Amino acid sequence: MTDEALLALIHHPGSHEDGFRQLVIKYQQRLYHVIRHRLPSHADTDDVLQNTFIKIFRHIGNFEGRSELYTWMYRIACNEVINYQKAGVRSRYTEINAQTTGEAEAFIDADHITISLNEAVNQLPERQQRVFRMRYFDELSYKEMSGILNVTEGALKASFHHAVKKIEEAFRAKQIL
Amino acid sequence: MNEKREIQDEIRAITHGLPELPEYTPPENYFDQLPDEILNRWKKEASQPKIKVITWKQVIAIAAILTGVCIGLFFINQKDHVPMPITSAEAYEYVRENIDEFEGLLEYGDQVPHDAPWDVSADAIHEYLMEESSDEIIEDLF
Repeated sequence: MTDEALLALIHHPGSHEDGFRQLVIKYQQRLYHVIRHRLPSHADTDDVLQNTFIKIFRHIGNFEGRSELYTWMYRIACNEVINYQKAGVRSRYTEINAQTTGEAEAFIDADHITISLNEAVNQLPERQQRVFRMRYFDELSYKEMSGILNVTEGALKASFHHAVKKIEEAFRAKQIL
Repeated sequence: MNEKREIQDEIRAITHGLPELPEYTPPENYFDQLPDEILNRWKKEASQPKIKVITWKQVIAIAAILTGVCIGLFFINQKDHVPMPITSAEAYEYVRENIDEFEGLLEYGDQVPHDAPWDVSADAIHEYLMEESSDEIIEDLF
């Protein structure tokens, strides 16, 4: 289903509930992926993902279609992650550290790569960091990134290229590659 | 996901490849149940009356605005309060009504100067008055 058809369903009083359902079905996995890479556990991700969709439902009437629907939802998801981290992620971290569940162990193993990668990314200039994170972690297309950052696709490709080269150098220095 | 494959191809064209990101898989059936969970939560929230929560920031902002308005009104009133000239009748009326405020001045008026020449004799005074006034008037006085 196209975004236009989804929005038409949502805006029609008789079908808005079905529209919301279709919206969640279409974008839940992609937004889950975006949020999961920023938070330490599935439980945290679930909280933030639900909050994100509730906020989307609440404000979809204000969506004017000036950007793509996904990039608008992506921004909401990123803001929700930031709010969640500010509000009380510490309790969740403590919970995870206290438990030695399979999920927590898997998280530690999987996150080892992410930590090394994040260290390398943090050394990049601000713009390259944003471009790399959007492309590599969040898997946004150049068109979507261009809509969010207001930068041409050519400039974004160049930034991503430089970022990857620098990360490669950092990994070689640490003998990770 | 085509985008993911495209990104990996793009990275391979630049370098020998960065480590692939770990795949975080949610619990089984998570995505099957999520739409219902979210919709139930949405319906529950929509059915509840909205309570307007005032944050500390809003309280501080309101207090700052009210303080500004009060200060503004104070200065406006100060400018309007230019003293007007008063007539002598008004001054007299004011003194009469607030006579207590002028008590110090009145007491000074009643006081007898210490250096008054009380040692002048009655004869000397009579002689002085005789010199200054006519006889008829002096007779009326005594």
